[in-house]
Amino acid sequence: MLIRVDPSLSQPLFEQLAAAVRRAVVRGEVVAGQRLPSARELAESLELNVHTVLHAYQQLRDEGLIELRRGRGAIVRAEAVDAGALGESVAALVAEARRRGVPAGMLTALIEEEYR
Amino acid sequence: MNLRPTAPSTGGRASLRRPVPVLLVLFGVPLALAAAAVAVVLAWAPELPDPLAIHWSGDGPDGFSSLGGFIALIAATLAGIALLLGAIGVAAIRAGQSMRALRALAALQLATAGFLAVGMTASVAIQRGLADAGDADGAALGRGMLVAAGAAVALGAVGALALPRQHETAPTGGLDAPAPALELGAQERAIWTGRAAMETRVLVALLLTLGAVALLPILVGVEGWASLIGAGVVLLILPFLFWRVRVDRRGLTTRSVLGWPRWSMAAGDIVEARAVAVNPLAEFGGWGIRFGGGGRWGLVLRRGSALEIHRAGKAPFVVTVDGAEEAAALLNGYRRRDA
Repeated sequence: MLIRVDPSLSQPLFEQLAAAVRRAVVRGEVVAGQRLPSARELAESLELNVHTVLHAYQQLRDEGLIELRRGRGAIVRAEAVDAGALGESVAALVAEARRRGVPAGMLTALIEEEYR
Repeated sequence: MNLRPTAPSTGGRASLRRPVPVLLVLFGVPLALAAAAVAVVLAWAPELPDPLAIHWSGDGPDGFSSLGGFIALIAATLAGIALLLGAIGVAAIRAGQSMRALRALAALQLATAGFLAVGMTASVAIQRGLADAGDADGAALGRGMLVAAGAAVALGAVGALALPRQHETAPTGGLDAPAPALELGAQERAIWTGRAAMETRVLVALLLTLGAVALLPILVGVEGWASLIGAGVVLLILPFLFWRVRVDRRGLTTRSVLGWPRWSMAAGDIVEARAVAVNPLAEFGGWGIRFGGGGRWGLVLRRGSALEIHRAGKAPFVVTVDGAEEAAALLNGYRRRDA
């Protein structure tokens, strides 16, 4: 699993971090039940504040991607890996939206509407 | 990024993948010599005294045996030594010994087999036509032993030359196309993490073996505490089965899930990282922490993609891990940007 963060970008670092983990899940680079690097390890490696890493992990937990357990760190949930399998469907959906000239915001809104 | 294996570098490593000359030299030739010696002595049987002289001191025999007993002795000795040295050879191959070491063993094997086969045959030859083995000529036996020594030297040379000669050179990473490097922004930071685990079939075989070792004391009725030793061994080797690999700005860290053993290679020392394809048995003689495959060492837990680290003046390090090409690209990316 490759995680890249760049402080020179406008996107907040915690969001970059969360996006990198999401990408790894979608690409099948992590398996269900796999333990992600500890917040401390990521912070040291990426020269980030531990709170930045925890912020990203908490966001991923709220999204249902990982479970945070005291002493065991961040565990990838099986449901997240299943969601990763949606990657192809999403790609097809986005391609269709592009073909029809539907912007990303509208597609997201449509998806959220469908969930209600 | 595709996995781009470097040339399969079996290097100077002995291999069972070319079993014909190796097994022929280690088992075939010595057993054939044993069979030939027995056949010759059997052919001479009508002309031989019974009992036969089998032990000599000074210039005459001082030990005797029946003809059948001596033939059994020749067969058992020659076959036993052939099988023993052959088994050592196979074990040496599996342990990842170099082809050079195997050639030395093959020379010893054939020299021993040659000396014993010719020497024992000669000790019988000088008794042909004698009514009483006690009349055998010790001086003639001395000449026979000289012939045996000559045969040993000749066969030893054959043993050494029969096996393929290979140059023990390290793979020359860098001479071919440069390894891919990740494009890193001036301020960008990246970490790559991967896991290395023992191949399932090897793991199963290992655990079955250890399980048997742990159960054996119980089965043969030894006290229960003995099986605790087996269980302890299982616990001891567990950290060597599952590993974590990390690449970041500081370099490469390979550590077992328990944190030890652990190897760190500083980014500044790494000349180049490559993704290669590794074959444990052929290139490293097996699985585990291995030395072999063209001077390389490292953690060889399964067949397939591996990260290969080249450092100046040091043996290349290998760790079998999924996604090795990404790990190599990140190390090369850091080197290109920071060096």
